[in-house]
Amino acid sequence: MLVINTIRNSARLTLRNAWLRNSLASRTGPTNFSRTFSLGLTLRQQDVVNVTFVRANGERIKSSGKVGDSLLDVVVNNNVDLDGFGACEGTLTCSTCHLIFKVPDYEKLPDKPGDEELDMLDLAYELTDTSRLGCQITLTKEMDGLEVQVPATINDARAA
Amino acid sequence: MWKSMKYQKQLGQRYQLCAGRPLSVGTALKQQTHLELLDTTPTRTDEEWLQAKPYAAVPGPGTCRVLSYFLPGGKLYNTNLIQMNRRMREWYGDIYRFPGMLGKKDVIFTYNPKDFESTYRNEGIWPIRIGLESFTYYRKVHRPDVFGGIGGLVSEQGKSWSDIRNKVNPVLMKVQNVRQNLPQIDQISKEFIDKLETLRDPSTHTLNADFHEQIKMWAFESISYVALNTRMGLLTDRPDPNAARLAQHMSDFFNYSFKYDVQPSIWPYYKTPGFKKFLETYDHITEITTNYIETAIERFKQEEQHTGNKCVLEQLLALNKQVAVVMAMDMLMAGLDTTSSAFVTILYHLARNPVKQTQLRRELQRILPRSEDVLTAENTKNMPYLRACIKEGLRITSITPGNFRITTKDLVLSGYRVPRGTGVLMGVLELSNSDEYFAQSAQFIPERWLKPDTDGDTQSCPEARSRNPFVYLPFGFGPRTCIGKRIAELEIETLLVRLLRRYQVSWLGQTPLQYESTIILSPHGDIRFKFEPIPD
Repeated sequence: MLVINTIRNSARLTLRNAWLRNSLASRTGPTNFSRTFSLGLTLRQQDVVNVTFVRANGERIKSSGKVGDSLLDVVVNNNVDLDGFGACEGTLTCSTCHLIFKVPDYEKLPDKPGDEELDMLDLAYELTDTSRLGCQITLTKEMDGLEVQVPATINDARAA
Repeated sequence: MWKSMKYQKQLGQRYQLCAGRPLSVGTALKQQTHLELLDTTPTRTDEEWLQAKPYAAVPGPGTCRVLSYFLPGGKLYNTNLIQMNRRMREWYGDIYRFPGMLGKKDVIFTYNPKDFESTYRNEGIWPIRIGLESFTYYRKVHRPDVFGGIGGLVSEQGKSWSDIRNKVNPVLMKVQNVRQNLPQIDQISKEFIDKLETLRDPSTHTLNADFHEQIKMWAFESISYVALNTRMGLLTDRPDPNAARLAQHMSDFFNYSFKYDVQPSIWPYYKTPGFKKFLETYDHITEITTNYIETAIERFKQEEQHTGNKCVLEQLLALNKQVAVVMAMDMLMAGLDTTSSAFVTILYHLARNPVKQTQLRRELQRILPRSEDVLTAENTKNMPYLRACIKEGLRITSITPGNFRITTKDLVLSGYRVPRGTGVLMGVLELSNSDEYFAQSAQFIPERWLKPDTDGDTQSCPEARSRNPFVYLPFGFGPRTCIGKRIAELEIETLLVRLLRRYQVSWLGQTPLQYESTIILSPHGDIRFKFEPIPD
C-alpha cells in the first residue's frame, strides 16, 4: 500500500549532495567566465559576502554567499554541517535556523522581524535579545565579514 | 488543519483496537515504513537517558483493562474523545501509556509542555505523522489512475512526503506569496458582507439564516478561489450548480473519516455498502475537482500572455500536475470546516467581550478610516490587536485538541525513557485552558499575545501567557505544520476586519457556544449573533 523506500539518512545525504552539486554547478559557471574577463571577476568579488558561523563549542566555520542570498541559503548551498538547520526550508514554521548576532550587527540589519518571524523566535532554543532566524536575513554587501553565533541545540545540551 | 486528523487517527486506532479490529496488511506495511524513518544511531547512553525511569514504569492501563473500559458498561463506553482523554488523565496523571495492540505502537499521552518541546525539537527534517487510512486507500489503491501513487501530504511519510512538501512550501507557506491573494480574498469578504446585509433584519439586527452555514459558504468560496482559481458564486443568487454539490461532498469527508478511520469498521477486509458509497462520494469529488482544474488549465493557456502574479493553482501546475490536483483537493477538503469553525469561535469570543471588541475596532478604524477603504499589503501589516484576538480565540478553543507525532529518536519525556518509534500525543487543548499555564485561562484576554513594544494604546500582558511557548500551537510546529496555516490566517483576518469594521457584534445564543467533537471541534447548536451597523 504505502511504498516509501529510502532510508532516511541516505536520502538526506542524497539531498544534501544534490544541493552541493547544484551550488557547485552554479559557481563554476561565473568563475570560468571571470577567468576570461577580468571585469567579471571584479564584479563577482563585489557580490561575495563572507560569513562566519561560530558554533556553541567555539568552532568557527567560514563560508560565503552572494548578495541577495539568505543566511539559510548560505548554510544549504555550502553544505555547512549544522544539524537540523533550516528544517522548514524558510517557511517560518520552525526555529531551527536561529542565529545570534553581535549587538552592532543586529542593530544594522535592514529589516525588522515581522510578526511571523517573531512568533517562531518565541519558540527558539536559547533565545537572546539579538536573535534572528537565518532564513529571514538577506545578505547585503555591507554584511561582508559578518560573524554569527549558532546557538546550542537541545541535543548539545543533552550531550553536555 | 490536518493536525486534527493525526489526533483523531490515533484515538481512532484506540477505538478500532478496542473493538478488536485485526491488523490490516496496510497497517503492517505502514509500521515497517516507520521503522525505516527512525534514527539509526545506537541507543542513548548519556546521563539524562541513564538516569530516567524505564519505559515500563510509565503509568497506564494494560491491554485487558483498556478493552474493558470500552466495552458496554465500561468506564469509557460511549464517551467522546475529549471526555475520554480527560478521564484517563484523571486516573493516570500527566503522562500515561496507551498500550499498542495487534502490532500497533504504544502511544504516550502527555500533558507536560516540556515533553511537547522535546518531541518537536527532536522530530528532525521528516517528522512522522500517521495519515487517514481510508483516504490513503482511496488514492493509492482505488484510484491510482488519477493520483499516480501520490497520497498527498496527509498520507505520505519520509522522502515521498518531503518531495511534495518541498514543492508546495514556497507556494502555500511563504508569507508574501500567500498575501498576494489579499485582493481576491477581500473581494469575497465584501461579498459575504453584502449577503449578510440581505439576510439581516434592519430592526432586530438578527439574521434570517443560519450564520454557521453562511460562514461555511464564505470559507468554501475562499478556498475554491485559492485551490481552483474559480469563483463559485456561493455568496450570490446564482451559485455554480456543481459547487454546492462539491461543498456537500467535502463536508461529508469529515463524517466519513470519522466513520471509517476513527470508529470501528471492517472495511479493510470487507467493503461494506457504506464504504462503497464513501468511495463513490470520493469519486464525485475527484471528478468535479478534476473538471474545474482542467477548465482552469484551458483558461491559463488562453491567457498565456497575462502579466502579473500567478495564482496558487497556476504555480502548483507549473511544478507538477498530479501534485497540483492532489493539493487542490486537499485544500478544498481541509479548508472548509476548519476555517469556518475557527472563524465562528473567534467571532463568538469577540461578541461576548464587547470591551475587547471596541479595542479591536479602534485598531480597525486606524487601518480603514472609512469602511469602504481598500485593504493592502501595507495597511494589513500592522494589526497587532487583531492577530492577538485570533490567537486568544484559538487558545481557548483550538479546533484540533491535540498534536501527534511518532518519535524518531529516543526521548526522555517527563522523566521516562521513551524509545524511538513510539506515538506521542500532546494534549494542547487541555493545557491552554489551564490556569497553570495561562492566568485566568477562562477569560478572553488578547493582551496576553501583544508584544511589549506594540504601538497603540493597549498594554501588553505577556505574563498572563505560559512561559513555555509550546503549550500553544494551534497549527502545530516545524516542517509538518499545517500547510493551510497562512491561507486560513489570511481569510480569517480579512473577514474579521471587514465584519467588525462595519458591525457591532453581540452573542444571542441561549448558552455559551457548544462544540461537537468529531474529527475536529466544530460549533453546533444555537449559534446566533446580532449585527448592529456602526455609523461610518
